[in-house]
Amino acid sequence: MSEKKKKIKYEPQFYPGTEKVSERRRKLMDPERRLVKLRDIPDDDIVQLLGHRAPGSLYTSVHPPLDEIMEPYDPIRDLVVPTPGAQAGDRIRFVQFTDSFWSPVIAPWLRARMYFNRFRGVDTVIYSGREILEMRERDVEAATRLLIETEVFDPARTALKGLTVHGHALRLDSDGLMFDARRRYVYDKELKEVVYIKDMHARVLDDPIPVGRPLSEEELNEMDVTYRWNLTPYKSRTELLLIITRATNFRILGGFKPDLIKGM
Amino acid sequence: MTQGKKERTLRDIEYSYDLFDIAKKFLETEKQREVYKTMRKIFDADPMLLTDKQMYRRGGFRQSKRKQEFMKLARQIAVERGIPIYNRAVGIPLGQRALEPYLISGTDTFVDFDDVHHVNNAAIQQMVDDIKRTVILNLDIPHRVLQVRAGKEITPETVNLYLETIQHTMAGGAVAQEHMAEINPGLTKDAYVKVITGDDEIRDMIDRRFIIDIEGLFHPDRAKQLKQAIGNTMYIVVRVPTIAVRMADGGVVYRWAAMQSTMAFVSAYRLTGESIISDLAFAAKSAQLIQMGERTWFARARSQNEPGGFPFGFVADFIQCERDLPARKFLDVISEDLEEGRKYLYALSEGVGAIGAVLFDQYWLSFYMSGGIGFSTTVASAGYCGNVLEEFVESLTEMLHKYTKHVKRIPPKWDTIRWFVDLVIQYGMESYEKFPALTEFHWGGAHRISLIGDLAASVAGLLTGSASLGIMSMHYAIGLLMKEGWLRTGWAGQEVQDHVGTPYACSCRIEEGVVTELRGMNYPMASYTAGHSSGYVAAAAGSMIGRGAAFSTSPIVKVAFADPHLIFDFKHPRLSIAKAALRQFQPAGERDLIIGIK
Repeated sequence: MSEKKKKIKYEPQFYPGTEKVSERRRKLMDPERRLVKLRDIPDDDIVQLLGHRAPGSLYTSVHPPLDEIMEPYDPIRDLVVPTPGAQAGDRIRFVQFTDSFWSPVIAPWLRARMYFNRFRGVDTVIYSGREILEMRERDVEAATRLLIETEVFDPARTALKGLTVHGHALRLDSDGLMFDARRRYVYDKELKEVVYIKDMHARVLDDPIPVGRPLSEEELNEMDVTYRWNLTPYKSRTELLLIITRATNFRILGGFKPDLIKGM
Repeated sequence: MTQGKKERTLRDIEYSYDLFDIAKKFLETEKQREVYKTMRKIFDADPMLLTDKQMYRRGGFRQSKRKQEFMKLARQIAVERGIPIYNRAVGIPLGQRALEPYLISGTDTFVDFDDVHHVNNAAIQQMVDDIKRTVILNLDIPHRVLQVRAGKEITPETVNLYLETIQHTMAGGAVAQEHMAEINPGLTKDAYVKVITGDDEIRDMIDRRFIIDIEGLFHPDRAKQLKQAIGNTMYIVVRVPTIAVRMADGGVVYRWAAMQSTMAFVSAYRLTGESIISDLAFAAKSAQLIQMGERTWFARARSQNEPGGFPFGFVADFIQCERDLPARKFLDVISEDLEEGRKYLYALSEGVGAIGAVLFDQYWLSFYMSGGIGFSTTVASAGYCGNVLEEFVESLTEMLHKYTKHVKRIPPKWDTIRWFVDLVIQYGMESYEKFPALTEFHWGGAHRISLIGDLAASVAGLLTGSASLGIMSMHYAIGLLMKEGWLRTGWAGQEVQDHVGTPYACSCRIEEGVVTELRGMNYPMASYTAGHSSGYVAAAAGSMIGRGAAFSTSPIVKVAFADPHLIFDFKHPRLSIAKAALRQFQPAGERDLIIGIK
């Protein structure tokens, strides 16, 4: 072969479409793009909200640090650098968020795609309203910081819910907050911020933890990641609809008789 | 994919221009919709308001009359037995939100949500029992055996004698031995046998008390199709007493039927212990037996005639809601006449919601796959409560009428049907977005995937007559269309069967699939989650109506469930469920007669 092999630069493709919802989805999924930080939450508050260990206490280990154990040879171990939590032998812990149906800044399936692109060492399960993220303990604390401090958290319509998770599809309460049967958070009218009075597991905190002001309706409309009839109607998203119907077409043909697939 | 580099199309700009303001102008029109009126009644608030001012201030579980009753009764039981029972002081605090009343669709009956739980609702139990206690036997082999081998004459008199005798044996009466323990007929008063035939001469020779009258029960078009398909033969529909399936399981039914049918032959034709009796028994147990369901797989092992083994096509035949309507292709009807088309769609939605969803989403997945409280009532009730499916169907009727005028045929192809599926599902999704109260009513993704799946499967089946296209559309609507619009579907793994189901839609390989109508909840992909099964039924029943067919899979099963002596009303299933919720439905299989009065 005389022709030189052409080098093709790999360009990750995250999502189709040109309008703002597609753009939001692309942004959150793309690990190269920084998420806007909207609030500061102290380390100890994150630990308290998660409720897995007392602030300042040691991490519970399920195995010695990797440096201290002799592991059998495995080429994959040479390729994959352990996360700090795995390196230290931390146990697996979790964080779980519920995302309101109403103009959410992030939604369960986007969380999954974002987690897979931005984090390492994750296990996640996607529900209609909530999503659990399991990682090594110190890793989950680091991930939680990003998930609470940045634009993927709205104190009113995103909530930390370790149990009694439902409420995403309910109407909002009189302060505009997503329903929580355990009332883990309330709106502090003086502070004008949402404060958590219970941790993720609905155990009462010694001191309330403020998590910032709720985003305004205008901000939420701009940041909404879902298609909505009055903001970004789904029916006009031609490119996205073409892609999903193409996927369906190929799946049907692939299951029935792959030879029929043309134009991949 | 363009990754945002492409210029915005004219269409994009057109749709996003001042849309928020323009949308407000449509709100008054939206208030005319049935869903607005129903949700207003249910929640006693404007369904379009995003805020619930009363949240957390409704008095907890005490806002529900039924839960108050539960607490009172539970206290009494706890005192009597010395062990605590139902106790609202443990677990999650209920009633922080509205515990709204449930409207049974198509009726004006409001009930407590607890009243449609299948353990609290006698009609739902009886529906399943009525199916489980049914088997159908053909009499051709027994009659031939009697004629050829025993030299007996088969005459109208002997057949009627046999039929009279089998009513006695089926209810637990002895005929061959003079000293047998018999069953109290008060316990088995729902046991009987009826005849189905497609031949007028055979019909005329049978005592009319024992006939399921096809012509009297079905529209003449349907009766003609059914009689032609059944033909010149005689089936008996056996209803084993409800108490038998309550004590044992569906597997007892064909044994009971075979035993008691054989004994009736022995008595009516004066047989003794000769070898032909084994042929009669074999015909009833195997050779000419139609059961309502196959056995389920080992891990969920159940015998025959249990819900996990009911084929979806049989379920479409259990449904009787459409039987008064002319057997015309749905496309012909809807393209010509809006009002007439509406009747077909309403019939389909009632059958799919109150039989398909209840049978599988509620009963099978709750009892046979899971157990305990029965999470699945919440999902299945979306299909028969709140007039929601009906509301969507109402709009669907208008859309289909508008877009199919002068259309004679819609090819069963994905590219053709996708447009309709997109149209209908996007309309459904927008309805949830417009009415926060509706979204609260369907508070879980599972409710919504169930409705979306029903609609997609129905529209594809109705327009093309293809059940395969129906399930493809359901999987597309849930696993891709709904998911990418909202970035959420149902609970964990709820869309697994959509992603695997799409490539398996046309597969007939073992462990992958089979003809849609012959699949059931024992088909490997179907049992993962509640929420999809009504969609499978919608595909089978919708395609049946789409083809203008009088039955989906079996004309005999279709006729068997038209029987007016059945306790559950398969023509008006929601009415039966509503009656039971109001404690006005009398089921069978009760033991009052033998336990005395306390």
